[in-house]
Amino acid sequence: MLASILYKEWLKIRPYLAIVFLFNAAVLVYLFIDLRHLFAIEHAEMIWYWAFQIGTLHYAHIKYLLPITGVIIGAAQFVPEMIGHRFRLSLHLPVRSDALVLWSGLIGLLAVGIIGVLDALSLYAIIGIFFPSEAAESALLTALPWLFAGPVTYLGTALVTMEPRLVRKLVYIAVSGGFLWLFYQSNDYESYNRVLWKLALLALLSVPSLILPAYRYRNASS
Amino acid sequence: MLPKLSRYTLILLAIVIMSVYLPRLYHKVFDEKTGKTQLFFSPVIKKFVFREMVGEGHQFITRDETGKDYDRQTFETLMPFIYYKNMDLWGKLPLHIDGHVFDKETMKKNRQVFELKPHMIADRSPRIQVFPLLESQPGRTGLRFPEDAFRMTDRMEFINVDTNTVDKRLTEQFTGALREAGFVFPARLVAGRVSILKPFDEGFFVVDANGGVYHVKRAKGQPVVIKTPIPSDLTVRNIKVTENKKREIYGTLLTKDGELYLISYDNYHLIKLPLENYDPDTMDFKLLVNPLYRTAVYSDDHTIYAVAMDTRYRPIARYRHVMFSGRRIPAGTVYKALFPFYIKTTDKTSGYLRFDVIRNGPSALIGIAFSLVFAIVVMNARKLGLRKHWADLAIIMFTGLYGLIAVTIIEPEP
Amino acid sequence: MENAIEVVNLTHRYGKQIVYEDLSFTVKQGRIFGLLGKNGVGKTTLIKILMGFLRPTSGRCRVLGENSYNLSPAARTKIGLLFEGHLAYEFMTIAQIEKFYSMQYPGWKRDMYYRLVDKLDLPHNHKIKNMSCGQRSQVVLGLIFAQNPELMILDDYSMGLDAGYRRLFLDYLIDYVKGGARTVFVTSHIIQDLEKLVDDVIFLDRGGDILQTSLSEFMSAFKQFRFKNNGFGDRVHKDHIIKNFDITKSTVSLYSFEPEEAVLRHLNKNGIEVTALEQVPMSLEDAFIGLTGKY
Repeated sequence: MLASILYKEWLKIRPYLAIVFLFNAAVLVYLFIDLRHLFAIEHAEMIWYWAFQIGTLHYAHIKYLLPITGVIIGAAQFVPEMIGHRFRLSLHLPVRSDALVLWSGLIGLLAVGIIGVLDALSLYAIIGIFFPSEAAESALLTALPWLFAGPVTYLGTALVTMEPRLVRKLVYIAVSGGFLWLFYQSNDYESYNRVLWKLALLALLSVPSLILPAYRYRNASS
Repeated sequence: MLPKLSRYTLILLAIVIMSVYLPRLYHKVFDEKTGKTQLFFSPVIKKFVFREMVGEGHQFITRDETGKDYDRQTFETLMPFIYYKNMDLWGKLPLHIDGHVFDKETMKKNRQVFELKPHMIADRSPRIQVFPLLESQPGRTGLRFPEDAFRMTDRMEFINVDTNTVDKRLTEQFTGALREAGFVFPARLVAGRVSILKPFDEGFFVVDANGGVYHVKRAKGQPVVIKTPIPSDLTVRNIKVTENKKREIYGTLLTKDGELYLISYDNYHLIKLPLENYDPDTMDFKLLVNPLYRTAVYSDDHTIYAVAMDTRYRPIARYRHVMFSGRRIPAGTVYKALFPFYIKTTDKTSGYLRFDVIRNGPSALIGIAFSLVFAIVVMNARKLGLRKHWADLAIIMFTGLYGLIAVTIIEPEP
Repeated sequence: MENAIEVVNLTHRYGKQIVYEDLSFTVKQGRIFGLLGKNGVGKTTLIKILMGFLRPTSGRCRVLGENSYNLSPAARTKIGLLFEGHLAYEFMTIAQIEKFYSMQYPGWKRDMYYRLVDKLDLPHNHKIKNMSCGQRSQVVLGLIFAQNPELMILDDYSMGLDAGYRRLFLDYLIDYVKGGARTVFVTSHIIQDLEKLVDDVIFLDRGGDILQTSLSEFMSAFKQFRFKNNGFGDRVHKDHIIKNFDITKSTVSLYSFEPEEAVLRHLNKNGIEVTALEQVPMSLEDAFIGLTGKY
């Protein structure tokens, strides 16, 4: 059963994964080029001073990378399921519909997660070229909330797409948007170190909502 | 069962999000001006005086501790060492006070302020532990950042900024000097003023694994390491270095017990500041130095304290004052009724974000009562049985308005 | 014999509008049922309810012995469903959609699928979204036959199909039902196809009036009579004998379940002077129009 869901989701995501990969890679390559340029035109000791003492973030390029990725993958997976009442196709499969949506969601989260990990590793590597490892670690810790925002927008997109009723769609948009903003409250490095685990737990709260659309679809008078 | 459960997780999430943003929105709409009280010790009248904002607009009172009010100019003449520029403008210099005469230059040279706000304490804000060790004897005016930076690991490692690789020579040189002086790695604390906008450079104070405090400098490229006599059982929490031309005090030293010291240039002798009720984690601290007195002023959002000391830091007088801004209930009853709690994310005393639930007190019961009534009306209109949907009402009982909004907009499944 | 579908006292409303009220019927196993009715009478709504995509206002529906609102995955493996409009996963190709569905159903007959689909003469990596409505329907029908379900529910299967393919599909369908263990529940706009296919018919009218009968019984009982319009035409009206009528300048056509003599007597009683009625043989389509009326 899971194999078939994986197959279907893979077919849907595959072309967009390529787009998303390229998008992420392009931004990361640009980050590298930008940093290299900075070190070419400024004195390195000044750049280190700005980075460590003043708190300038030289890698803010990737701030919205994963949330945008989350929206793309979420749309790629769930828009084809919903347009023209196609949700009925999935509801008629010999699979529990809530399990179906949950597994589809987990597959998407996995995809977003893998890209997030690749982003993190790339960031660490790129920063590590120009700065000592402490700064690379710091960049990673600082970028973690921006990476966490990816699954949040993914889940929000999935929920908004699958929800039949407008009012609830707006609720999902408001909650997801409010939640998303929580990850962008600071422009200083490592400010999230002490609260990230709380936000991660909070993100788990949004996962169970994935099963709602299957039930709500059948209650909406279509 | 499952849809019911996931409705509640969604409601919980919505409540959390609302409790972050709705109170903020309220403040954005309804906030008013508040100002902190400024407290000084007047060397002229030998009393504490303060300047405080009261009421709307720009109404200030300038008053002394006995309750006597002054007009602004008189008030400032009570603080000649602070308002020395105005004193000069008003032709009141040179100052004759207590048998001394002070002219403008002397006053300017002797001014010093030491500041310690909670977020400046090392464990209260993030800081990448890589630092530039300036050349303290450059042989020219103006300090410059060196082409290397150091970090304390199991050695004092210097990294060349251009190649981003370890400078073995410097590393061995400085690590050796530290070890010779008795330094035990790893370091617990590295403290220094990272800036080239200062009159000279005193390098770093580094606390080793045993609590010993070492003074590390770079002079003509060579390491200068001094093991200070500061007792290692002091458990140093923070050191703030301030390079001042008077060369009397290296900076402040805060211990884990909340004791604040000055590190003097006299062989690092520690001068304990006789502070009462000082909480370094919640209070902004300032030490105002003038030729006659040293005044420590520290305050949180509610109360401001001051100790006036002589030039040997012996206490002369103390004062405490509940600030006007602290007396006014910072959040009105309406706010507290609307929001039984809120989630605090920012904290001006820390460089780290928080995510804590702060309760607003018993006024919330008013709001909860109203919310319950409203909820019952809505549930009846929707023909939802009150007993069947007891959980929704329970949520409102605990979360008030947040719960009401969440439970109403996120309807139960039929 | 078990009932494949059981509907008891089904009532459904859209807001204030009643779609059906106290609708009851059964579909026996091993038979082909045709659901006939005008557009908007609620045929697709009924299928949505039967398949659990819609919760009825009240009443009970059982499909293969299970509550239709909570069909288990096991039950769904035994039900082949063709949606109105031939919904399919557009992003898949001919080969991918077969592979996907083959993972869902035990006893999947791959050659059945390709036998039907290869008649399209399209490459297997042709995407569904690049197909016409008729081509898509062939793919979907291929999938259903490959699934080999106990119960087939086909909502307007003929949409988009050309005459040749419709005939081919009918052959497959008739072949499929032979053997007795399989049931087909079908709606279609093309009535003449159903004539060859169905055992039983259900006529659904607005508000939920239904007539459930076997096709043969219906065709023998329901008759069309004709007589010359001798000026009494305007005295004809619908009642318990005359189900429907149609008046032109020259002729009056009547539709009734009653035998000729009864109809004659009824007409004469109402002052319509006719001595003889001509019985007109009808196709199912004629009978359908006769029962439900032209628009």
